[in-house]
Amino acid sequence: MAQTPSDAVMMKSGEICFGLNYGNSAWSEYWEGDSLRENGNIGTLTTKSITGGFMLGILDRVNMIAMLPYVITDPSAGVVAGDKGIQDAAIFVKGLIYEHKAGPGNIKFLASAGLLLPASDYVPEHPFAIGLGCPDGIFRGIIHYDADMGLYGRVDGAFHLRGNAILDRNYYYTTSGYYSDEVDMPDAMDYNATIGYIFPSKHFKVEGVLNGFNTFGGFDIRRQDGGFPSNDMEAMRVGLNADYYDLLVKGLAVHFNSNYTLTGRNVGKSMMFGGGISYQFGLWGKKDKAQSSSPTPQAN
Amino acid sequence: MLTQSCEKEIPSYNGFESYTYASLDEDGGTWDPILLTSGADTAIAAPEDVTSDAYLAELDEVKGYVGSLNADEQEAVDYWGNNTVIRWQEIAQELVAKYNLAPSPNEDGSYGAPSSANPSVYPYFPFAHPPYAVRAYAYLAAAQYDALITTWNYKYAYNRPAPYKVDGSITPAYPDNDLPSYPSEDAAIAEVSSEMLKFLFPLEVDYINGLAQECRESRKWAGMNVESDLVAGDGIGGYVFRQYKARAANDSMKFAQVDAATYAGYESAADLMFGDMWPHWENLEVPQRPVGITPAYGKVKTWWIGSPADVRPGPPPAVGSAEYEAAKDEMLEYTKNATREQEQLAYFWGDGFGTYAPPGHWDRIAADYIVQYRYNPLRTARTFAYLNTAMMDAGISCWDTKYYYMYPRPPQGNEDILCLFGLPNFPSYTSGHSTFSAAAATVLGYVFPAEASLFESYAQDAADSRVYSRIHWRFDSEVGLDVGQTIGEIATAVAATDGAD
Repeated sequence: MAQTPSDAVMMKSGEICFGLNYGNSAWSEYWEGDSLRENGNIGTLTTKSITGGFMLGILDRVNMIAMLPYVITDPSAGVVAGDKGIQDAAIFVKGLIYEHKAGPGNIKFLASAGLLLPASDYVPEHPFAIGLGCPDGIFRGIIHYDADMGLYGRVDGAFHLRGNAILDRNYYYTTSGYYSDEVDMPDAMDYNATIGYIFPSKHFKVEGVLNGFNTFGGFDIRRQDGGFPSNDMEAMRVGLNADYYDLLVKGLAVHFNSNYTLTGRNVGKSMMFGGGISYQFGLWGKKDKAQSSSPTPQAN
Repeated sequence: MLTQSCEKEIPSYNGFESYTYASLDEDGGTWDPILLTSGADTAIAAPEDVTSDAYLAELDEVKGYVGSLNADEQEAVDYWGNNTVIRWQEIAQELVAKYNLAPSPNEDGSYGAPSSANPSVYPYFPFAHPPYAVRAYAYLAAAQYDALITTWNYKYAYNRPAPYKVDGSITPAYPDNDLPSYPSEDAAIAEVSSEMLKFLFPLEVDYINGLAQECRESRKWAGMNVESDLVAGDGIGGYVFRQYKARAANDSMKFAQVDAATYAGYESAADLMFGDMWPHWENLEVPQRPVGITPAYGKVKTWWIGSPADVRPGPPPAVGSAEYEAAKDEMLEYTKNATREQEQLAYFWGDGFGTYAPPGHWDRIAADYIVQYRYNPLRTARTFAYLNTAMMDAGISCWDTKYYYMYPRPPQGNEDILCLFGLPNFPSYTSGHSTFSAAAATVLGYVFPAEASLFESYAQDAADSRVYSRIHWRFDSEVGLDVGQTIGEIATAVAATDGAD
């Protein structure tokens, strides 16, 4: 995507952007608690997604981001079918809070807040569920430093305030039994440390990311049990992203993203590749907006 | 975390408020028990008179709790309430859910087996699959019922009033009634239930002891019983447990899980009889589980039916027959086009691994109606006893049928049929859930006649859900419902003459 709730990209007031992204994530091993295992009744689980995105520069310092993914899961073995459907709708507001000259470059402080909401009645207890089935309020802080010569670094962290997941059944066992279709989801956090480089042409950008995710609580998958929305989920991932801006026409960009799970708990040891396109243009604002319609320059 | 204080608690038990019993069933001591000969099988000594020094000392202990319970004690009084039979059923459901997990494969692709001799060695004992689960529920419920018939017998033989009737300074925590308090029904239930559950779930001894202790003590905190009421109840619970334990030791359950060599005999017998009509059922997991779950469960001692062969249905359709092809087309259709409503039913009635299993689902439903109809503990226990013994007979009959015909599950030989969740490790024909459910609906329809059509619709939903999830053929469910109903009718015919109606 041309901008995410966890980066430092800001669009000028009146700028609008549409994006489409394809993702392909696969694992053949997963952590059952802290024990990495294979499962002959799953084989390799592949999760494909197509995400439509929409971004808007409300003010120069306040942007809005909305996304809606369609997800397909597909196990390579066993007798259980995968699942597919519209997953969680996301809407975020991101703001540039403070920007200051520091050393050879610029430091920026940003924050974003948003909500994920299941956008269809998909089944969170499906063996190969497309999502967790819970509302997720995400509050993120971002510190970004643009050094000289196109080099930049960024750290960000978010708190996930998660509401209950709703099941089709009204009894379940976690570490004790519950007579309800509602599952109390542990809250969670995620964080990223990113180093990137913008090539002198200002068209091409690459970055490496270290990403972590941790729930606050939750329970381990017991031996030979299935996963459950309120599991204790942890993951540490490394990723590589690349973007090319103003491809052929001004405002058109292509994006590549990937990550690999190094360690985890109650999650798959996945390898993910994704790619997409976006198109950004001016809708309102100053007459000279065409000059600022590219997200590549220092605003990154 | 931030919102914990304002979030509503997710219920971990039936949240009923203690209620006034619709009746006391004063003649309950004369009803026919399930296993005992009568409610007078064990002798219980007469209690001390309420004017005796011994009694007054016990009464002082209870008076000491009036208005001085700490938060934990008050919580225990509220939790256990005035129908502890329901609580012990819930505890059994939770233990089944905890132990309802199949063994994980070893590195070399083999599978270990739980051992009652070494329960704490993985795979832990027991694996509370549906046959184990329904047997646990049946023994628990039948023993509870016999213990309460015995309790009622002595309550009305001795007629000792409750502490709050003797001393007006004691306010009972629950609605008052004229039920004599010696022996304590709740102590009898705590003792028989805890002993039975420790016997069935040997790794849970400490957990269960803690619950039993709290259940028992909470009667004094609630002003319902004095210590000698509880001691007499303990004695009844212990006696009845020993009778049921002796039955359990000789009900053939220990032979139900056969070894691979014996299992080969089941396969060749099915091949000999039916090999020209269908390939025998095989486990489709990777790595393959070499033996199905409890092939000899059909030989376990029944409660109400004679030999399972007496109610064994005729054969399912041959592979390739018109009826088979129609059923296969239905499986393919649901694989591609099951509606969300059909999937919802499939998950709602799924009752698979990590759950209380299909019989536990019916016990949970029964509890709602027991509370709605304000049943006293004796009538509650009777409902669970006939419900669960009928469901166990349904299970025995169904397992006899499953391993007699050894009929393949829909995806066996049909790779285009995919399921909503994993296949159980036993043959397809007939559907266990359908058989359990029809037996359950029949018993509950007898107990609560005004709700009979509702229970019948639930059983139909449960049966349909197995078809929607593609783990059963349509005929597995239909025939399972028929046989389950027959077994339910056999059980209710006995219940109708036990003296309670």
